[in-house]
Amino acid sequence: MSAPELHLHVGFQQTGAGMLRRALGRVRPQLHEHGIGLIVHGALAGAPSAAGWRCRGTVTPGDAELFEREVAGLVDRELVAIRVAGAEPRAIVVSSDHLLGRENIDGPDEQLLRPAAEASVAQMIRAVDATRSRVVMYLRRQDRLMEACYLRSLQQGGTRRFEQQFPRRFEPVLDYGGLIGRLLDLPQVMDVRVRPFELVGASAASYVEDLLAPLGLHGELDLAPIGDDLTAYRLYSPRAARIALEVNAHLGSPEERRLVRTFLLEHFAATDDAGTRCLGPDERQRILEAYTADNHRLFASHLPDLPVESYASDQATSRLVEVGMARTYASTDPADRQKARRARAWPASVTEWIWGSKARRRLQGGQQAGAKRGRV
Amino acid sequence: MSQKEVVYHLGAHKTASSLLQKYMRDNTDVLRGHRIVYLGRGEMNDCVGWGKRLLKRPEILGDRLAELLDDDGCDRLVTSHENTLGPPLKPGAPHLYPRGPEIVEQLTRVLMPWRSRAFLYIRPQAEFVESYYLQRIHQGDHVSFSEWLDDLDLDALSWRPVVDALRQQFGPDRVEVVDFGLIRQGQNAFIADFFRRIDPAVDLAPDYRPIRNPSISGKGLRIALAANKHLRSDRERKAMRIFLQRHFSNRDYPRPILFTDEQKAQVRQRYASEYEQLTGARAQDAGGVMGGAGR
Repeated sequence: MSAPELHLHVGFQQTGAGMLRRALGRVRPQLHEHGIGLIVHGALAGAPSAAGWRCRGTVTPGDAELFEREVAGLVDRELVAIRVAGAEPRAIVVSSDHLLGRENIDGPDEQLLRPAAEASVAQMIRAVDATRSRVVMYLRRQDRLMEACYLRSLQQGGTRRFEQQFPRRFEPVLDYGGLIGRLLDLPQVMDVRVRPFELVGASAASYVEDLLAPLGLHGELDLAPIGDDLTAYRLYSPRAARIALEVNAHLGSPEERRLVRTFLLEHFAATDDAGTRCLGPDERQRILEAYTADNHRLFASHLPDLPVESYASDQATSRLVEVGMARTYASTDPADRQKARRARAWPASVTEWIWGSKARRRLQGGQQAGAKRGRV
Repeated sequence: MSQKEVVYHLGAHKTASSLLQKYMRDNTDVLRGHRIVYLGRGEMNDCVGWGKRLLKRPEILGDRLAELLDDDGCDRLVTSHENTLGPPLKPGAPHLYPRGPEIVEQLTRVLMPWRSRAFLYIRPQAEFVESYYLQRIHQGDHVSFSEWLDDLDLDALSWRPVVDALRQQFGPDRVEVVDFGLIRQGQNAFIADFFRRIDPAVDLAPDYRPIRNPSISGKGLRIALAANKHLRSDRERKAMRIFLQRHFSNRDYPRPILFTDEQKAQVRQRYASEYEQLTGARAQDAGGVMGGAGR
């Protein structure tokens, strides 16, 4: 059985991919009813033949073939589920932020961002045997991406300081444009859809809607089952990061690292987005300046509906968040519009935090009201 | 002088004071049956503090004792408060509990209306210093043992001055100096022994739930030293203490190495005869008991 269309959600890392997958899982039966199959990271990483997944770098042809056959089996199961749900297959969505390769973004000697990306994506397209393929990639402003990656590495037991982990942090090595171009060069890829994470990160439901928008499902899915309890991974606060940086050096086993991580997240987790900032203002400014030209080109080429300076400053990025909120939580309530106007003057972190919590509640209320009316 | 008696357990620190305190707190009815009333540690903090309050406002403790002993149903009041004698170790101090003699003098003035006895449990100096250091770390300190030791004079760790002060003020036959090594017989035996010393007729057979108060391990110590400097509030320090006790205690990991074997031998040798004279126990036999009552 071949899949009619493949949507590859490839991350990027630290853009809420885990939250998105959990949200997709909650509407999986509805997706089947609309002719959409879903294969998420766990099924790929947990496959017995996962050693043949090319995201892991060099693999033997035999292992790769085994993996591709297993993925084809997963696709077949999804196609059967779609037909059992009474629909005709329209698309298969594969979601894994490992699809670009598992290398960290901090390799000081790497010449390319995610060098395994092309091989990994091409392998998945081959395995799914789709008629058309689209890559969907959510990106994050580079300084915030580095901060999130750094905190995650500390949570996993890392012992390096920020400047040791990102020795080239002031160089534009996170070449999003180059990576997109490399994927577009793959003959099987008809489109690379680029989305800024800041536009969708406030709610899992809006994230799902955004991801599935090209499939023409607008308004057809009942997003209420997603609920408002899904959040991105909790991250350490800067103080937890300082504690971890010193404590991790004394830890031996994965269990010890897990215990410390659990303790620090229980008592010292960041309580809002602003609480995850490790960079000082000068360092942040230097990083933003290093990426100014790249980001200008990125937005001009791949996000023409958004201002080219969206990643140039906190203030500009906060406007992205506002745009996302306005789209997601479009409301005729004057009070909401007033809050949105007020929020416009605040820095991104504050805006993300306030909207992130309040708007989720409002969405849930709206969904419940919508469910009563028979649609959302 | 009243025939009623005050039994004052003065610690020392790190000698299972909390075990005795918790047992008495949880068994007031049992003690009542032996006509004993217990004045709890919390109240003693208010009355005595770290000794300074007793020096400045002795009437607070005196009034409270009088109030409790006015009860016809009690012949004896027992209290336990290891902070009464002040901090045990201070840089430049000539002996353990340097403020002890001054405080003891004041204490006996307060206890004048009643018969009184003092109990002091002690342990060999090397173990005492190590254990007290670990308690400080447990409470949020983050200085290394060697740095902490730099401020201490290992020749100024004698128990004798404070014991002499007690014997002088209370009377030699009214002071019990007990070797903490008794704890190796078990918690219940330790508790029962304490009450037999108070009165052989108080023959308790406690079946008390063991107190889990393990000391941190070597790894726990390294983690605490790394983390404590970043903690800001008592709540955070308490959370860290509980975390380390639960997951990085000496039940699961090797004990911390603080004194070297050579240092420990030197300290033991320095105070061995004094310890034997004070308690009747040999320091070598009394050693090897680390941590709190959870041993």
